Amino acid sequence: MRNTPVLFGEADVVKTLQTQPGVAEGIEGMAGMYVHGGNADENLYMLENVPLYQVNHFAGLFSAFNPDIIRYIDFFKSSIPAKYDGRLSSFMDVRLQNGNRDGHHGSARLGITSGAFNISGPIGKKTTYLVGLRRSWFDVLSISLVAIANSQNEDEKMRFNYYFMDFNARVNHLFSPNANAFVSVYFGDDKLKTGTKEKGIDNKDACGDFWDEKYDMHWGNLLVQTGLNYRLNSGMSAEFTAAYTRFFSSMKHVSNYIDRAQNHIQESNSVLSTDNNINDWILRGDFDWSPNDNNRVRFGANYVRHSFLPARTLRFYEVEDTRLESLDSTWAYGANELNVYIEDDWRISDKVRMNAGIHASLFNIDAKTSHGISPRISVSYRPSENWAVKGAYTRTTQYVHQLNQSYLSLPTDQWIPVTGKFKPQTADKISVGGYWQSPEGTFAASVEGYWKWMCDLIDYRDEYYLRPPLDMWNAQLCSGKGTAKGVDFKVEKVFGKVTGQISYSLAWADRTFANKNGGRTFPAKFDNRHTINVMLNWNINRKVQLNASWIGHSGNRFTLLNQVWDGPLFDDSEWMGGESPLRAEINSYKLPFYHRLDLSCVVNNRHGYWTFGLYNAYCHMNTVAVKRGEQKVEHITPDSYSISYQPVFKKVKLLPVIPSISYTWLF
Amino acid sequence: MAFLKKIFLFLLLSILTACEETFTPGMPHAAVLCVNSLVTAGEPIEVSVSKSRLYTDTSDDSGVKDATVNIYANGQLQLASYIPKEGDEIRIVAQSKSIGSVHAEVTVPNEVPIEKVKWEASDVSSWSNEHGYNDIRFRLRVKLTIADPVGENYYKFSSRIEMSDLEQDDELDSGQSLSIGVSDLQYDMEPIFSEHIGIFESIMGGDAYGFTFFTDRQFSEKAYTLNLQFNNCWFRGSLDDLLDCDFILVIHSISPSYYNWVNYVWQRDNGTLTEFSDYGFGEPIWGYSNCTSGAGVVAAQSKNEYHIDLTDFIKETIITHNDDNQ
Repeated sequence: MRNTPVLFGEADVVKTLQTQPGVAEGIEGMAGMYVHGGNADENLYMLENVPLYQVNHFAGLFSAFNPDIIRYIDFFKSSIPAKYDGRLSSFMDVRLQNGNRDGHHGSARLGITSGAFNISGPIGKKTTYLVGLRRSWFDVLSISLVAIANSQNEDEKMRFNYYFMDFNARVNHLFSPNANAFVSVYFGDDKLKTGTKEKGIDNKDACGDFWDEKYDMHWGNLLVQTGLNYRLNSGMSAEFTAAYTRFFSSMKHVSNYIDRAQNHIQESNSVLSTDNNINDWILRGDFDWSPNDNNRVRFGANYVRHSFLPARTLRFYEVEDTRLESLDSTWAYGANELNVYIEDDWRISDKVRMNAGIHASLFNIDAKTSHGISPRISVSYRPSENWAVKGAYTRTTQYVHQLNQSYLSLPTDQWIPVTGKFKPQTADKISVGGYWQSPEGTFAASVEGYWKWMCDLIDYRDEYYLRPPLDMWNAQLCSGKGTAKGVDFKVEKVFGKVTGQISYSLAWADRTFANKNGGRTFPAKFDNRHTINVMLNWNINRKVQLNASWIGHSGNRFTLLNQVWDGPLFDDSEWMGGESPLRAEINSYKLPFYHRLDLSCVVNNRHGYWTFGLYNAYCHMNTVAVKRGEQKVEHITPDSYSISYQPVFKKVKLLPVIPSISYTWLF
Repeated sequence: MAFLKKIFLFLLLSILTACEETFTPGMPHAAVLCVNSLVTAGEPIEVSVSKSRLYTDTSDDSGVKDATVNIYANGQLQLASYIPKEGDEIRIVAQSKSIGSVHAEVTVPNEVPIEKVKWEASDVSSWSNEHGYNDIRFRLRVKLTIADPVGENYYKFSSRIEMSDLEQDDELDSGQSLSIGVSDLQYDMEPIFSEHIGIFESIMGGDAYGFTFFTDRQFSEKAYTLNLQFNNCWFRGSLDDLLDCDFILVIHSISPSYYNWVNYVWQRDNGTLTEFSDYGFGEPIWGYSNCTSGAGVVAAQSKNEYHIDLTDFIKETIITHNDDNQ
């Protein structure tokens, strides 16, 4: 991760995985992940085997994993082990460091956007601890800016405060060489508080209309877990986990209005709020058993008690004798999920190996039980020491979905369970690949083709935004299907002073929904036909390392509304009219080819290391959208001068060259 | 509070530093017919036919010369003299040899009963000007109760003022103008006008200013009282000039297509999703249409009116003022 140059120089798990073949980054700069033609919510992010629902900060610019305390990451996108299910496209399990046994050591990092402090060490002979805190700086900067703005305005006081943070704590205890246990806590959140208050509201002698408005948005995760790893004998080990994970997202608008005249006072209060929560209680046991040298059996089970509150909106209004209070008809859903799995990694011969397994699940909600049978099989044939070919079939089942109104990660994103008319999403994927490794292990190459069919996908229907906020959340949705296919090529150099990889993906992805695009099939938003990733890491000496990353891919898909029609002026209301865009085929326009070079340099010294970064080094500002705008046209003649505005299409481009610097102090 | 939307976009875009470049996308396009019509119970139907055009086309040529329009009511072809009534199912079909055809359907909604109206004037101030005419300023509060019929219903509130035989602002014999008005409706005082605004839009500064459309989702098949406050009401004239003056409250029962259209317009002009789509963070939003071509809106409405007679109130105010000054 440290070697992957990224925006603002903040090492990021998800942005590092974006460089893998078959993984699309989505919107530039964001920590989105679209694996093999899937959607953003089809990736299961886990922190030590327990799901996290909200994995982004600041609208998606940063992921929620503190990179400084990660031990390793498991990431699966093809031939997925039977242990994992619940998402269609990929599975990522982040494992934290155990804590240092030799002494109290840690790091403190100061970057452009955030700072982090991590420490770990022993507590006695058998126990270790790890504490990590990362927090953004934005609120520190905004305090002074808001104070300056308020000092310029005598009538109104503005509030503005935003931060994000991640807190991790882990205690690990070694009972014996064969048994250790841990307790771990993660809390990460984003909080935005804004509003205005007119100073006259507190002055009882002041006459006029005065407002006091507060806006709060708060979203994030809480995860508490305890685990026990136990080696029963030389052939069998087990991992038991009990966990509670909570995703929360709330928005609230509180308004107080006073109309104060000489002979009367009228006061009104209103509250508008919405909440989206998930609470999961998890019990799981995972076993790893090697009955003989040729078989390795993994099996386990887990039970999850879910409590979903998809999106509950409250409106409250009170003025004099009028009081209006309405709560939408969304209720909390309790759900029970049971999963069992078993797989055998069987070495049939020296050349043939097979991994076969099955993951079965039951999901009970709203007096309805859905089930999923997800078989997995992969067979590899190794004709020589350096060559292997592999074929795999994987089925995955997903019971919860995230609905996004935009490609930003916002508190408006809702996690919802499958209920009512909606069925669990499923994906069937076949993949075939060839793999080569040089005899000395320095070079590796692979080619992998896949074909994926996705059923019962859920998305917003066309014109969903016309449904009023108090409508049931599922009235805005429709279900459909999708397909994805492609080939990923990858060549990497693993050892030496210069390491790196080159990958190329050729891919297709589409969607078909009865209530979208008139039922016609349309390309997925991130249907990037060609994607090339080049990464190079050059260890010049023990002190200095240079890193470069170049990405190029076919442009994202875009719905270009290139025609307009004249809207009606009903009842002579002029505000109603104007040009309206004519609906067009969804994602039928392909944005220009995207390419970018990122550079970074790590300079080590006695106490730590500096990281210098240059995002988009040759400053190619890539097109992310096409908007309808106007262009000023000057008409100059010897006798006159006039200006008119010509309607034009404009490419919207983001992110020029962005330098970054951070220092990490190691102690 | 629209500044919050600006702050949000400013923060994002100052980090992401957007810039724009003019270009011509090579996308095929074919014009389609557009039909707009508001069918009002008891009034003749007017239909406007035009065609769509490329956004960059500035020729202002949206007219369709060879269009024909047929109106069907309850399945029967109607003549131009047809007057629609409540419950009629209207189908409008437009055809053009050069562009194609389009049709749309709408049902004329039933008039909604007005159960009760209570009103009061407050903060009354009165004075005489140098020509001896009276000026009155006051605030008008109206509580208007409607009874929601069975089914999913959509409404619009509007108002106007009428003075018998004399239009307001007509010039009087003295050269002064007679003026009466009721304006400055406090949209925020009636929460039903903002039911279409979600919490995120609200946080981003969306408000209901100018929007008097609502649904019965929060009071289905029950009575609902609209809390209407007009902060800027006035009369200028003399007692002799004063004729019967009515403040007329109108409750329109409107078709879903009418509501969807105005809701779309609000989203287009005020919604955050539109801003997001401009910068590639969201999907573009196209104009709502219930026509088969995707262009145009065929809507319907029925109106019910209630007259508030302000004559006596104005008369008494003038008399009281004149008595106080004598």
